[in-house]
Amino acid sequence: MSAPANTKTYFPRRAWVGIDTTQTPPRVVAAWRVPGGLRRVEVAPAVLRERRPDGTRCVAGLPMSRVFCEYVAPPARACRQARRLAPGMLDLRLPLPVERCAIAWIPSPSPDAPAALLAFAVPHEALGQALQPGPARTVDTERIVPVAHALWRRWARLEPPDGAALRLLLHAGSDAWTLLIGRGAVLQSSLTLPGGDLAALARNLEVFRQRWSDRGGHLLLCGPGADESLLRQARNTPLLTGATIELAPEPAAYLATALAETAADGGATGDLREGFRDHPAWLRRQRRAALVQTAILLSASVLLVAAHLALLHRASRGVAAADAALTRQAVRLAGRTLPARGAAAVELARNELDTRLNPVVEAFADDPLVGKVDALLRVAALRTIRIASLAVDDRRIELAGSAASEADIAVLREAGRREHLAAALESESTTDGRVHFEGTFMHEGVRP
Amino acid sequence: MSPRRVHLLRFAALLLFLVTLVVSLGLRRMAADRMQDLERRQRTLQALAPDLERLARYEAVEAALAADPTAGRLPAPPDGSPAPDVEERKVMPAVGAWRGVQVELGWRRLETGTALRLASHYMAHQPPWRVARLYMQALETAGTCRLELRLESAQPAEEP
Repeated sequence: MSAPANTKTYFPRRAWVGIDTTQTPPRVVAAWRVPGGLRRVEVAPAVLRERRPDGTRCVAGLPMSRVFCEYVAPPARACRQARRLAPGMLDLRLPLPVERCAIAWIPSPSPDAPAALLAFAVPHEALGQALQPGPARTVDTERIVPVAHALWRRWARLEPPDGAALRLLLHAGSDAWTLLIGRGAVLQSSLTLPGGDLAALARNLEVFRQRWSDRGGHLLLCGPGADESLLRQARNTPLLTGATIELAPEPAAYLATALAETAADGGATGDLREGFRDHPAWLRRQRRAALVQTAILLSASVLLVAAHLALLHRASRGVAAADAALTRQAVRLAGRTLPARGAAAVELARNELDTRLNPVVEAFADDPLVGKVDALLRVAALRTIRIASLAVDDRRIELAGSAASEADIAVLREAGRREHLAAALESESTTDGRVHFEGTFMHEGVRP
Repeated sequence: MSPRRVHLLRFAALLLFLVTLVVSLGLRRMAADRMQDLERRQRTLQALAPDLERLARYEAVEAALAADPTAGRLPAPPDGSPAPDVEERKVMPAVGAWRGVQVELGWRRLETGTALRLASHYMAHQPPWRVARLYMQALETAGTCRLELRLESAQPAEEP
């Protein structure tokens, strides 16, 4: 079988490349995400060797003849718990210990069994043989995926199943046929049949029809051997009567496309090589990630120290500025340079200030009480308070007189408070019906 | 670079980060101590504000006293006011570079309105004069009072 003519030479770096090595020459399809879906192009193997010589972002399919496919439903509620229990259950079903197998666990898409897993297990020896360089291997692919996983996922994505109907996918390879059997979106079993054995296909369909009591079935044909002739033969096979049989679009490129799209779509990879961690691309990616982490750690260290040093520097500058201001103010108060610093300098400066200020002059600087007399006399005039005597000096205002009532005296007291004067007025009623008062006003906070 | 070297480098970076973390904690504590120092100094500076205001007031008064060429001379009484019955001038002993001058003025009987005008007039002259004491006593006769004023001034000590 020859390679397709309409191959492309361009595909972006982010594209995943699926390689169907069951054909000679292999079919190669590149797929990548674009807004609104996936885009794919078919690529010539020579172009692939040129563009991706080390197999970076390349996926190869592992034929199911070498792979054990088991549907495991552990008694677990969560997928994480199921992953812990599943290896033990799988070990009982496999003909060899699970430790000697590379296993890809695929979570069940069925909402009825969220903890169920599909296990693809391949013996290490078989996987090693598949990874050996040979004429069939175009490049050393980064991933190797069971073909059943890729084929089933693509079919489920293109034609989402309706309910739990019986679905079969036949990949008609050059040497052997692979039959996938499932219910709805859940792949349950995988069988390898001799190439061209439609009778075996029909027998297996009948077995699963009886097991699941489903007389219908939907069969999709793909692979290099799937063509109109095979479709006609299948439709004419008596035991396949009742089943809907279809030919996949571009059947020969179906597997390569499935491999590329499954990888490009993300999610469950089904990669059997994942546990080996030996591919150069994987190592390169790990190295890059480690270098990025190193750079982040170093940057964080530098930033952390720089930020804290800046904080300390700012605080130190603030302290130095405050010290300078304190010294300046202390010198201003003292009128000379002081032999002390900080709080001691402040105390010394205050003492110096008391010494150097001349009391004769400072008396003029005090807030004079005589200036407040005017406000008191104005209130007294308004309330018809008679002032008998008024004496004002630097410390107090002494007032004596009479008022019409205690309320007038309270108003006088309030007027003093507005002028920040503390009033100490005593009053007593007199025989003429007026209230005699006598007392002092002083600056608030000054002791009498 | 080999994977082993990369991992070693990452490990070294991690160690450096941890050391940096410890150092940063120390720096942070030092910065917090400095901030406390700063707050203490700022509080002290704020506490100095009243002293500085006092000094500023003093300097303003001193400048005004020094600049007034009429220092020592009593301000003229308001027009039409009666002459005081008592006028006594005292020069106080020098205190530092300044000496006080006191003038006692007294009116035995005065209309209250005139007394208030007189008091107001002398209160307005400061510095170089200030009213150090004011005494008013209402007399039995309505509308009259006794007024006593003590005016104070200061002059440089070298001038008698």
